[in-house]
Amino acid sequence: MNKYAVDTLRVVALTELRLRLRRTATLVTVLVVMALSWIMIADPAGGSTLLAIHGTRVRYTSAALALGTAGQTVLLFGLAGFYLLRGRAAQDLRSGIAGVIAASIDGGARFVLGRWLGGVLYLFALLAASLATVVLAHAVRGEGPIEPLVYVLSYLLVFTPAILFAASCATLCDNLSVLMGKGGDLLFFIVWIAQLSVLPQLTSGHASPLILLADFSGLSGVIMALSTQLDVTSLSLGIADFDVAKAPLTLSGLPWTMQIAAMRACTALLSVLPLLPALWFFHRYSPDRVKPGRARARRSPLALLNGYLSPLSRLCRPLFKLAANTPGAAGQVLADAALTLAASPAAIAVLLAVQAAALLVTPAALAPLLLGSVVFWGILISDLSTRDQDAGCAAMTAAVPGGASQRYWRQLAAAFLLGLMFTVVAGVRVTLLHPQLALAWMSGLFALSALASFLGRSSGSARIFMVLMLSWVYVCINVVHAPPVDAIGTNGVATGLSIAAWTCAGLIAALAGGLYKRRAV
Amino acid sequence: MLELHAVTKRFGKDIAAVDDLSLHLERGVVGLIGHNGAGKTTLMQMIATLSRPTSGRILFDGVDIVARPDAIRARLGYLPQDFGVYPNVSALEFMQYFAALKGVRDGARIARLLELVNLHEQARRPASSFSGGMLRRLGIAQALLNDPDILIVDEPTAGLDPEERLRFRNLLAELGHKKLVMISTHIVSDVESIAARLAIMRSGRLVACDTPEAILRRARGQVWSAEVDHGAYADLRDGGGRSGPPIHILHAQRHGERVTLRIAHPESPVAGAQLVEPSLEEALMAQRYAVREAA
Repeated sequence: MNKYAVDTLRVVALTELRLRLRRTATLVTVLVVMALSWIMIADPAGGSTLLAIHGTRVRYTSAALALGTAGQTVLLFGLAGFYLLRGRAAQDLRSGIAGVIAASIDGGARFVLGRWLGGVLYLFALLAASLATVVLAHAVRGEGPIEPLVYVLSYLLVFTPAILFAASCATLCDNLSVLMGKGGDLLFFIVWIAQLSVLPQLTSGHASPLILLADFSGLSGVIMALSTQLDVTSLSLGIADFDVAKAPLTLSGLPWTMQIAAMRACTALLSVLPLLPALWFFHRYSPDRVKPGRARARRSPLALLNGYLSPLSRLCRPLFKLAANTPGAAGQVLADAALTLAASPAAIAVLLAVQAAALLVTPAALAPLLLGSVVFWGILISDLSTRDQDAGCAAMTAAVPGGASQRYWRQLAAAFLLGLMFTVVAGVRVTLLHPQLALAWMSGLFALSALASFLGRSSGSARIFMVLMLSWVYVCINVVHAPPVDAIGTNGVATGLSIAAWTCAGLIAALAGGLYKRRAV
Repeated sequence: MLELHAVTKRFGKDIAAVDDLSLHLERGVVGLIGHNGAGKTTLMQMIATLSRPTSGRILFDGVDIVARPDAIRARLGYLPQDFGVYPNVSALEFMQYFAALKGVRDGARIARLLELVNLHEQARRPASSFSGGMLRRLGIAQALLNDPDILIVDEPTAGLDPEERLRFRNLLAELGHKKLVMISTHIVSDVESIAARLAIMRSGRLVACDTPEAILRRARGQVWSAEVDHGAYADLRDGGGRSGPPIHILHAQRHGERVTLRIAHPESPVAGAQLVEPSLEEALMAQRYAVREAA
């Protein structure tokens, strides 16, 4: 590679990094990352610990904290990383710079590689924020000296393949026209879920070398490193209960062997494979392949589905009529709900299917159905508070009665209304069976609506909410006995305290969003 | 109808996008003219209640719309310079949405407006597939939904082909008979035939607000036509060591060895120059150069 190529790569990568670091979304993300990093290191005095083996607590040494926090966050980091990096090509098209880029770059490979590298650096910067928080938590709750080498090496070995894989997949989805829409998002989510399916094999210690090699999530690395000193057949990661009567275990020194490190290095090499088709098939913003308007929308599978189902949007006409005939803010809320559905005919199909299913399924199937409905609704409303800005309609909707200041509140209310529409039948049936869960259902919908509105408004992107919501769903499915996780009441363990906590979280998010840039168009 | 009293909009300490601007407007088409960065869009955004002035008052029918923005929003139609449409939404659904936001209950009005802007046959097509001209027309239909008393359109003809521009101008002229239509533009030809008044902005300040005829009248005697050879043209263009007010060449057209010039200057700029009737664009340029610098 000549000096010119290296310079181009450096400039593109650094520009990419600067652009990302200067966004408000990055500040919000860093705060979220730091908060989560702090929360996951539970205070053992409270009866929970980060890492437990057969119910025995593992002391908070550098190695334990490094592996424990890495193991807990690497999966989510890989997921969030993808969604944070996604969408740069669409942004170029929206801003009109795409044509200028296409006319300025020669091969395109250096540009794609530079963008990818910028994304990788950005994720490492976020990782540094997380690591700094963990080290700070060590200073407060740790049970041994802070060993920087242990932390840095452990994080690099666990996270590097995950970050490279997330960045490569994001680059692939941005540079292949067929994956540019929400279809790419969905595909990556399926890949991520597929990674979870090999978890039991990883923890049992019987995973084949191929699986270990292709484990971009990094969990295999954590488990292999832990197994050098501890028995990992009954491992609890996260806010785990432990037996206070048992003497704590100790994980000391550098738990990595050369063999494990070499395997992680090979995995890191494999994780950049998705970058190759991105380089080969880069669309170069060709108008024949991608367009800001119709062409781009039509090529994504979801947009195609919306195209086929577009006759369903006629079902929204009575809702528009009702909105026009309903005076004041209530009418505007109905209008926002109607527009959200009209713009996504697939959502109308799901809405109808969910209601029909909720009428027919057995009581045992109601909770999963309710959770599924909430997931679909969450994806649908994730961009409600950024929709006007994204579509270029913000100035026009700011000039209608109520103006920009009321727009935030009416969109929050519309998100909640849509939540009710998606869950009404299942929610009512669950409530009839377990009346105490009605409050959880309501408070959960409200909290998620408020969080979607606040995170969208403060970051200018739907992705942070989407990542957090999907992460919550994952935790909710796997941790079925923890009331704080049971936001909607689908696990049947929500308590008065957990409901109050979610309501408070919703209120705080709603108010924070209302105050944030309240004069902005 | 619309009064602005000492309106100022500052961004930070140093930048005054609109500076101590006072204006009184009644119904009719008003062209807001100025070069890029003159403060036109900022002024329009304040009148449309999208942003608040740093100081000053804006009254609509005597009501302070800075304190009570909803007093004008219900009677306002606004079309920004850059706007888009929601993806997967037809023109009809787009109109239905804005009708609901504006509290317009007359469903038939949507059909009438789509017909007025000649989009009735495309009403069920996704609006995102529209051409630039069709989008502008959909935008103006949206702005007219609530039968506004004041219509604000920012750079309405940007990106339109000549036919669309003509159609758009005629539509705005028609609307100006009954409403206050404010058109912001830096293309004089967009407003010269339809504006009852022109408000000229420069560096955030209002430098003139008058009828096109008055602006033309003031420029008479300051626009000259002359035919010179290439050498003389180069001399005039570069200053050529002349003393006195600089010469501003408004237009130069080559004909073989000769160049026909139109020049803004308070007195005859070159031997044989003839006084000519200025166009509105030339009158505005002359007002900017000849009068000010001669003074």
